[in-house]
Amino acid sequence: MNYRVLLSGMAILNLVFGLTVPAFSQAVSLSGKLTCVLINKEEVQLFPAQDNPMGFYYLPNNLRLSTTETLQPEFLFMSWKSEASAETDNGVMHWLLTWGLSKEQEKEVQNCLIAKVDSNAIVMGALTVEAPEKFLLSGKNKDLIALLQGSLSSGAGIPTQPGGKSASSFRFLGEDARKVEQTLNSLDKWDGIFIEMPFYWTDGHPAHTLRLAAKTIMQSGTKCSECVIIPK
Amino acid sequence: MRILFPFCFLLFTLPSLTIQAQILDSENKLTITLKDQTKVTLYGQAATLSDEKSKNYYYLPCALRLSKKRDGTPEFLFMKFTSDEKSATGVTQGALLHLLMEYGLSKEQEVELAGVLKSRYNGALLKGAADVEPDGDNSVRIISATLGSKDLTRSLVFNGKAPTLPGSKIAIAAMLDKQGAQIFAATLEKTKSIADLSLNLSFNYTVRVPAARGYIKQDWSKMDSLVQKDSAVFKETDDKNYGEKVANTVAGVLFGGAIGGALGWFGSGDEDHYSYDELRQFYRKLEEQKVITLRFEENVASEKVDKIREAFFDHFLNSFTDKDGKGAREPSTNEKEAMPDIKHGDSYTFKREIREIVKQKKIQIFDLSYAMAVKRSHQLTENLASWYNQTKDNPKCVGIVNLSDPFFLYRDINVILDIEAEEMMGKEVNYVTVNIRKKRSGEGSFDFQQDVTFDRKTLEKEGNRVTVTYSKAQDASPELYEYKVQWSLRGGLVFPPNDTTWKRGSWQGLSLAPPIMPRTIRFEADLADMKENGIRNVTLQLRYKKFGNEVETNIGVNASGTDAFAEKMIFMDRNTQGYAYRLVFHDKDLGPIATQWDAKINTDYMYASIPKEIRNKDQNWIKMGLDAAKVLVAVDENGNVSKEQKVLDKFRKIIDIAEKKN
Repeated sequence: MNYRVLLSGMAILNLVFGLTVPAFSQAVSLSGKLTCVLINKEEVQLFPAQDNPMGFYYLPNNLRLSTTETLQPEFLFMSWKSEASAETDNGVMHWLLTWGLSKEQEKEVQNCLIAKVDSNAIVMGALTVEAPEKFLLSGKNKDLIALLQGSLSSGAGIPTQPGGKSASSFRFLGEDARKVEQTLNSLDKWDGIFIEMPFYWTDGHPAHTLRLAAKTIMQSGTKCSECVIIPK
Repeated sequence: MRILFPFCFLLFTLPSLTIQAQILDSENKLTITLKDQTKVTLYGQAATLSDEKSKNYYYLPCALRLSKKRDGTPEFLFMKFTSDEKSATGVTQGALLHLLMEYGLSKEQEVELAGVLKSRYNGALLKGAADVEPDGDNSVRIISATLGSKDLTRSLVFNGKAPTLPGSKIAIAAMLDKQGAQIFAATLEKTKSIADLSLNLSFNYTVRVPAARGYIKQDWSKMDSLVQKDSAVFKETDDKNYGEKVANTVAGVLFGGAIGGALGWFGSGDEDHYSYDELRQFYRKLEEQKVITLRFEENVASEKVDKIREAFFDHFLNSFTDKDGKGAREPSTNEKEAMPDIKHGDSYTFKREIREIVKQKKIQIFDLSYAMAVKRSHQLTENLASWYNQTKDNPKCVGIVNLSDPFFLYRDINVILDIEAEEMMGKEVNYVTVNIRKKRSGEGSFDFQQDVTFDRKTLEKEGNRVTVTYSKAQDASPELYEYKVQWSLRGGLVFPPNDTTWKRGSWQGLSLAPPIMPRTIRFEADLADMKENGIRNVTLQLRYKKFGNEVETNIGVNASGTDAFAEKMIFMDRNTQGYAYRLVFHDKDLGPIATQWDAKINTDYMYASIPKEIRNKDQNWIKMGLDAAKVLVAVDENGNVSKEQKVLDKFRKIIDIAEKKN
């Protein structure tokens, strides 16, 4: 009898789901959500696992320009001109973005959990999320956005694991190169332009969107003298 | 059919559960940051038919880096190259980039990660790398404005598929042109931040996820209250109220004993036989009364839950009833929907077992929770600069090469037609052919040989310069070459007449000067003086070498004419610098009086000065002059001076230019 019940149960599942593979979310308790604020004011949202109330997973956070081992921003703007030219001919720009907690920030969050939940609470890692192929550019300065979009030579997808990187490379020709060059001396032109990385639960529902001001990227890049090469 | 179907499902289901050697649990995920800030994502192994969390962990691809040879040399090459030779296409300048990459934790990182797992996560174990597969045929991507531009990069090749095992290598090679090489090198050399080259690998990995949670509950204890309630309203029913009929029957027949008496479960009469529609109504009644409860939690469309209900009704029929074969009637609409191939309406009777189940007030729960394997994506991206900085001071990895290996060089010989030859082309010269030969000393090598011909048409069309090119390969003295020249001259002559020996070519190239050179001889006389001295005509007789033969040309001035000046172009051998000459004065009474032969070099002007002997009427001298003038025409039909009349041998030392030896 038990055997037949098992088979019949399997048959039911086959009838119901057939070959379709629905997307499924990581089982966390949405009602158990809590927020930790890091020293740098970044908010980290955490959810306890459904079957382990002491194990917490965090949503993507802390989108930023990634850095090298020596903490140089992973940013490059380089323009050039020929000897015969009076002004810049062309240029390239390359950046790498990343998200997630640093080792120190993980400790901050761990201490936050201990304070807010229990001494046994533990950071398990990042929630499983999905992301689209490319980041989005939003903002009011449509001309600059169009220039960036039109100059994007190649770019990798949005990383779905913390510490993963998203690389983008731009090639600016002629007037476009000169325009971007000018904006590096006048960073306010980047005001209101954002890089957006939307993340989705694995069932396709929106989970969280990370935003990073383009001006922040440019500020970090231009502060680093070895990241910007412009002909004199 | 109903019995076979579950078995079919089992056949399709079991392989998918057993083939996967490594199944990861989506609910058991960790992210650990190592000391060097490398973030590692791990998944626990999924326990078979259990929600228990395993302590065995596998890590997703991470730590993308340049691979190294056994001696520790990074497998990276950035070679700028140039050449001493100019190339119109610029192909001899640029850079070659070649690198091999791999991913996966180093031994040290594995030890650190295993230690963190063990200490922080209750003795968890690091089992190794997670099984991954490349995310399609283009799972390796190059992100670079320079390498992505066909204007700057001649070619770019790399593995299309990301490797699935840590330590496997990915090769990337690019040939940059001159400008691309400079731009790319500048991003490498002038910054310490990043280069204009990032690499991205895309993977898929499979995890087991809890797809749905649910159950179907049959609580037969609730039949009691249902029966008691229905017994109170027990009554005769019409045929269309099937649920009431069955419920009443169950109440009256099934429970008649206990409640109303255990009367014949298989009692006689139509009341023991039920149609498909009657049983559906009965099943609905059981659902309404919470005897059967379906609960299912999932973000799926409601019709799927309806299908579960339908499927479970089939299960109910299959478990609790038998077909008795007494149908033989038109099937109902519901029956046709459930069993499209049905021809006659079915009739069902309850099985004996249901009485025991109901009497024992059993509670049966069917667990509908299940897990499914789904694919998730994972990406790995890094920039070249972090690897390049490790290699840029390593001469094995980064270098410059000047492509001056003679093997790949060419020797250009410029063959130029001399300006004098241009002037003579079509006049004295028909064409000239030069034959160039390069003998190679290398073993198994072939000699090079090429002919070039100039004539009037090629001169007009292509100019006076032709370049002959040969490879410098396979020879100890690549600059040395040989040549020989042959001229075709007016009158069908060729010079030299026979194919002579090869001459060694000079490094500057070949200048094709004709063997003869034009000289315009200007001859002048004083007409009044001639008349005064009884001279009617004076002739300048020239003897010079042309193609090695002594030839003669005469230029005359007549005293009765008006022009005291005459000129004529002669073509004399290039290796001579002068000519022999004499003047022939035509006395109105005595006839021609010739002077002695003399030689002149380096001048093209002659003046007919009347000798003082003629003016003074010196008879002895005049007699010699008359004798000398007896033979004035000494050339044969070919223009050559007869052997007896040749005079140039006497002036050889003056006229001939000693031939230079190369």
